Amino acid sequence: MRVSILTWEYPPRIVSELSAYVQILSQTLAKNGNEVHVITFHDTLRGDEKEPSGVIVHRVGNPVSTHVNVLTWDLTLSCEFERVCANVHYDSGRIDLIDCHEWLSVVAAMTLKRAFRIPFVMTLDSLEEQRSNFGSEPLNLAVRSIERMGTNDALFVLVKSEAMKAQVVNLHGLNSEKVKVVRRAGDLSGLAQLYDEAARTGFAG
Amino acid sequence: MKVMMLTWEFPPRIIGGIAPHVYDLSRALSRQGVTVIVVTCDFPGAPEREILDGIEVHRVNSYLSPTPDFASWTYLMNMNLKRYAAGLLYLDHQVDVIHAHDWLVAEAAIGLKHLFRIPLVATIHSTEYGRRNGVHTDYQRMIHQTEVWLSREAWRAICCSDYMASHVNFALGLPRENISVIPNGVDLQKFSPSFDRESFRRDYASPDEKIVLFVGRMVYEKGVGLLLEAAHKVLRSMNAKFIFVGEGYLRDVLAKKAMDEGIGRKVYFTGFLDDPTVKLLYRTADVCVVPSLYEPFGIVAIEAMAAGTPVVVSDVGGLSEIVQHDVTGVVVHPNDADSLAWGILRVLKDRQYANVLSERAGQRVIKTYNWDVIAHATSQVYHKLLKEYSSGSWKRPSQFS
Repeated sequence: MRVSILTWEYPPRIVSELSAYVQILSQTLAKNGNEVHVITFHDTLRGDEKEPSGVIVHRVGNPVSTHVNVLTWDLTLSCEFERVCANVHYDSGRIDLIDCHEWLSVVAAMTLKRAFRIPFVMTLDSLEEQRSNFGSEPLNLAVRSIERMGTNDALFVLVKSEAMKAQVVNLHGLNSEKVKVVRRAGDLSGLAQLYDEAARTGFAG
Repeated sequence: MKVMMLTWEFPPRIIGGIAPHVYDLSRALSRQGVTVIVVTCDFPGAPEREILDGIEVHRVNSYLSPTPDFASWTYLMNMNLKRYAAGLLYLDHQVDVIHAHDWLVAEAAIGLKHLFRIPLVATIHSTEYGRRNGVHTDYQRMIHQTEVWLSREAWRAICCSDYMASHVNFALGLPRENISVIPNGVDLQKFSPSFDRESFRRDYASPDEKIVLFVGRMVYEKGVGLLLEAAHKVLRSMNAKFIFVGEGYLRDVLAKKAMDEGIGRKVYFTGFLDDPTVKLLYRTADVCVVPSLYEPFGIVAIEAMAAGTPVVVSDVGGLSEIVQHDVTGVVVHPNDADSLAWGILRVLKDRQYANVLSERAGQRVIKTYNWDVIAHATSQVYHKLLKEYSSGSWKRPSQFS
């Protein structure tokens, strides 16, 4: 199958552990015979690169360079994610599954789901509620609302621990069956099976 | 031909000039056989979906939760607009053109353009640079850059006047040849209802007073202060009532100034008036004055001309293109109270001259600022770009359409 991974960090851009995790995940998926397209942001690098693992990385910039907050930064960047993902879809062939990481890439995933009827899975490394220490400034609430929309719209929500699963189910009112715990240490081939299942389930809603 | 219009305001949600513009343009396009879908923001009491004068209108949840500022709200509203419209376009493969109005719908328009590979037209009604007289803060720079982005993504940009086209060329750096100039218009039918002119007039002026009308926001760049200054000069030789219609920070300042200077009884600040009343005032006034210092277009001059009222305008921006001196109105030097007073008196003192001007002005409105003419020019733009689009390689592969 053809998978498109949307992430705001991917080596050489490393902000957190997410970057390395997405790289291992994409390599695992490629090794299992999937065509993997990583669509990501970089300040200066642009264009497509095929890695030795077979993973194809598409790097874009933000079409608007000045921003007043991370929210507006993300919402203009999302248009570029959508553009590149549409290009892959039209030029390489139908994408079967979108894998998006954090609220930062879920806006594009939600649009792509409706435009092409492609299911998406959403991985959460952390929650805005915890990051902002239960902040209730308008910016925190807006980010939380995107996170909530995204988790409800996703076919599966992937988290790192049982504790986080309980949190996200409770916070965003999710069916606990759609939230899956992914152990990041060791073999990720179980995850590849989950992705196969998601792509077979197809577009829902 | 099928067009999807994206706009952040559409009746009954009316905030500025974009709502009536998109409404009148869409209706006129629809009369000419173009199918129009409008995707816009929701409004209390307005249906989510309706067919309005042949236009298919979709009102989308405009993001009602708290947001840090207006621009952040705008981008979130675009997220909702885009998601909704993507669902529509998945089912409807007949849409030929996406037409966006201002930066307020930029992300939705650009996103949809690439997702469905449909060419984009953008009408630039005004720019952040023009609205703020430069770009001074990061907030303004972000909006400015969004405007630049939209103008680059658009297959073609539309501006309402030559003045605006050269301004967009300068402020956004968009090549002049990428911009089509299509004027704004007026709906002549709104000026036709019959009414008792004498009785209506008594609410605003005594029978022996000439009525000098100003319509617009009461702000510096509209030249309202200048008109009050000119009023002194006019009143020396003419009995007149100066009626100022509109709201703005200068309203109270100027009302007090008029009282202090002893012409309080000769001026009337009405504040905001509803559209039908303003139309009747145009038809009642003896002269309509547009003394702006900055004016990208000048719809007030056209509305007065449509109402058959002679106009006196300052020689700036779009106004210079609308009114030809001594032919369709009187054009005076900008920011010059003497020249403005001279122009007003020239019209008020010579009834025959005024009649000739308003007669010719009416003809010009019918010929140029008529929505059917404007819609025709707009669909010509669509046809031209679709011809270019169909001969290019950027389109949806056949298995997807």
